[in-house]
Amino acid sequence: MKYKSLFVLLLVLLTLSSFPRESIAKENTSTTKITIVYSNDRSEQMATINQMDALFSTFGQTTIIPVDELEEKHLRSASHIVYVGLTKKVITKDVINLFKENRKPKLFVGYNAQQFNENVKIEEKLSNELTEVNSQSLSKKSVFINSKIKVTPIVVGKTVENEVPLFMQLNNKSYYLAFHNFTVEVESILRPFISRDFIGQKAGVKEAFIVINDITPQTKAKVLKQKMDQFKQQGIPYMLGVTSATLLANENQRFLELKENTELVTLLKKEQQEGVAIIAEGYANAYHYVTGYGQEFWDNQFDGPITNVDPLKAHELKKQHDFVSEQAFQDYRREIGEIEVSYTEERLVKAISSLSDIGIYPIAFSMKDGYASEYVYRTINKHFSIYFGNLQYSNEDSSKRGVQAWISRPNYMDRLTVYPINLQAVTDQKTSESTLYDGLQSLLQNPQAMAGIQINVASTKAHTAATLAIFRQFPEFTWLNPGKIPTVVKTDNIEIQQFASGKTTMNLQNKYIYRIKTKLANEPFEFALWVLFIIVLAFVSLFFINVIRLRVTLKRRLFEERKPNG
Amino acid sequence: MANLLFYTSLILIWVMLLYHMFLMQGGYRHYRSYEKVIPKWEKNMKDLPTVSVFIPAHNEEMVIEQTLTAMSRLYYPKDKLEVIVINDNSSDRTGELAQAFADKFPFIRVLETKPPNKGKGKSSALNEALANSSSEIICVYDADNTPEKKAVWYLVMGLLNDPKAAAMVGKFRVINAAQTWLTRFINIETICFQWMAQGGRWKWFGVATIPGTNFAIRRSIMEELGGWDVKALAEDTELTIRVYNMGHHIRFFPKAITWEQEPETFGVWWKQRTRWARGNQYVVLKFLKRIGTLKSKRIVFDLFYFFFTYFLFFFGVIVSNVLFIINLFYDLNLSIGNVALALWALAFLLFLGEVMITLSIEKNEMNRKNFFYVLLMYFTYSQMWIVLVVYSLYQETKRMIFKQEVKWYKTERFSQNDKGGKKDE
Repeated sequence: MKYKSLFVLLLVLLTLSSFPRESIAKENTSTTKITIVYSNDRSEQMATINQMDALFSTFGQTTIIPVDELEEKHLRSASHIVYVGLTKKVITKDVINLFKENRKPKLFVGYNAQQFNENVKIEEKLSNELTEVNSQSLSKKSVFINSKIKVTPIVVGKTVENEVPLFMQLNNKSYYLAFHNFTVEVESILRPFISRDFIGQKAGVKEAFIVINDITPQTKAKVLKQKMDQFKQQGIPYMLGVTSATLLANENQRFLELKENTELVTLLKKEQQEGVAIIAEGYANAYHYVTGYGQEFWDNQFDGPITNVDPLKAHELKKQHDFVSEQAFQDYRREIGEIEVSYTEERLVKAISSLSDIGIYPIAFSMKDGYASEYVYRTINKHFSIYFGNLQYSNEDSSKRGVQAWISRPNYMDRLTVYPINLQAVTDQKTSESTLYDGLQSLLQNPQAMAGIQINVASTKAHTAATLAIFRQFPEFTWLNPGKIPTVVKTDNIEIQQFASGKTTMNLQNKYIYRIKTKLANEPFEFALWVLFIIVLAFVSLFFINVIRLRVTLKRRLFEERKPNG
Repeated sequence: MANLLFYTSLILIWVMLLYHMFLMQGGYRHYRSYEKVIPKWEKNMKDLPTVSVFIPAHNEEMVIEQTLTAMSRLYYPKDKLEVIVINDNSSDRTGELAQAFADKFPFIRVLETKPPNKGKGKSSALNEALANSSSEIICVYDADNTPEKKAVWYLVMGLLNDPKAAAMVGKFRVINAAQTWLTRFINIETICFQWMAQGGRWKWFGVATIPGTNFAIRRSIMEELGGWDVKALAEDTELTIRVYNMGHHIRFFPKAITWEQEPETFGVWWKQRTRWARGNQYVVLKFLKRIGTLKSKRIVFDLFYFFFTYFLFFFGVIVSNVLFIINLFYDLNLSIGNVALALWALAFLLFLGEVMITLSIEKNEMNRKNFFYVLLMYFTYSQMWIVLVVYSLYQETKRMIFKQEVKWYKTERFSQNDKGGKKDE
């Protein structure tokens, strides 16, 4: 009996202790499971797959499978199936049968749709004359697959000559999307229809958030305070994007640390105590330490991934055609990826520890414009559960980028939760106000939407006022409460958790060892001086003990010399 | 640039402080152990060697009587002892007063220097005495010294029992410590120097420096070396290096005590210490030039220590002070944090600890008055040394460039109450 009650007590304690983790896990789990099967013949086509991954991950959990590796279990566990055909090669009968036998809703994208659905005839012919989608003009002509089918299309487009079907229902649960690759603009128009018809997503909350960003060690506390006051006066919540170090011009490798701006640190800590969420915006927001330009996780000089931890030794990423085989290129790319991982790892740990060392606990990560490969994103996911920003779909090409209209958790980012920065604040540009307005208007078309924007801390008061005024015209959006987003930020030594209840905890593996390690890593010379201090202090103590000892034994000691005359 | 200079100075200063901390440990250990050998050594004091005590004197009428009084009371068989007052071109009553003692005590004699040694300074006077004596052991005392009765006894005891020792060095104390603020500082300084630098170096490395007074050396060694270097301002340091280079060592044996007079005015102190500093700088530069030919590794290390002290350490201190002053008016963006302040405070504590422990070894020295003098010393007397070393370096550089002749500064003497230990009788 005695043991039984003890067992029950332990069980209760165990349940209670595991509760916060479970609540986070539940937040990340979705009932919608989408399996994306793809066929491709070139590795650069993976950017399109990643784009699909990002898009569908806003609806649920995605699983990505190349068609050659498809098995029945992949389709069995899915609630929705997407086939992305990037090549015209013939699909095997086994795969076709697997699709036929499965009764789940299916979406065919690109080539080969007619192979799965013999009842429809699709003429697969690329055209680059698309000028309009669903009555919305495109900023530039887009490529689509010219198809001829007998069903009524859900979304139509226009070329100069005629109207063309773009998204259609082939039969009961099968849909076709007449693209093999689409732009962000086209994607944003198509998204609400895919969501409504294929996924069956119901209307939900529409939320918005604002990040006051670009807060660096050089930011004056007064400037930040004025910016925050502007928000406070209108009762608009905000988050703070903080970069913990800045490269000083003309001083190689000299980082100005946030801790050196004590006034700013005090203000940030005060805001944090009042519930304002802090986002770590990289570590130093720059990769190239000599010039300080560019992104932190992407080499702007060569417009490619980081190939060396030392920017002066970096080189341009070799192209696939430089290699004898696809496999050889992949092996090479993996090697570069390891460098990226190592570099990113170091920067992220620095970003977290340099902030937490001064009592600022970030809840998420962000980086300038999201320039990075999937190696970087995956490394981010090891340390942060939430990322605020844009996405890059290609590992080698920064032009293939995008942003979602809702929170996404792409498979290629190891399901890192992405809060999109899909709007731009008002600037001096004449069209900036209308662009922001149209952006919000467009987001309204989505059953659920997340509107995210960054306002630079150094932006003018007038620009900020104009941005906030436009937001106020869309009462459909409610403000996201960042203080209640479940999130985890961790390194080997520190773990910061925020729960849906708003509670935040910070755990150090070993507080003192951690602090010693941090000091050693960040300031090795100063650390050595502190060690010296401790050693010398021990000797000084020993000397004073001996002084007392000599004093006590003075009368017992024999002195042969005559008395000193002084 | 400022950061680089700051860290360089920090390293230079702390290398020196740490070395001194290490030496202090050795000095304390030496204090705890050096007397243990005496009972055993006493048993060997049978066939005593003949001893000559050299007292170079140039215009020493103010102090020579008290010195010879102390010499007359030395505990050593008088048939094996001779005290030689080397009257070097004195224009006062030094010779007359010394002769009175010689008339009274058969083991005391007066030796007048002759050309070419006449009036050329201490080294020349000592060489004159070396040529005009024949005893096996030579002891040297300055003309203001009043050794304890058994001082020579203990020096000889050391040499008899340590066959590898070429010389035995005793301890000197300040007889006029209570006279002025300056003599109080010097008293603290000399006690600290002897236990830390002499005791510490002897304990850890078997190295000690021959001071200007209260030491005994074997005649055979002096003859082999060809006497004292007449060009050296610090003839004692110079002799030390040559002795070690022969493969011998010098033992610090603080049981042999003498009392000496120290400068009571700033002017005298400045001139005397400038001579010492210049003398040591001369020796360091002289031997560093031929460091490859020196046989004794211990003395190479010791030379480097002197070089560090007179050149690098003071350079570090000056740079550090200059940066500190500039930073008061203009932000140099020094990247070092609070550890700099902590180390500064610790350096002061270390100084206090080291000085207080050496004062505590001596009788009645660790008193309240001296405690306050030690506190004050760090910010006054110690800082005076910085200016002095820079000035000495300037003088020595000038001498080398213009090939000027070395001028020996004779330290001025002061009248004192203690008449060779008579008051304790």
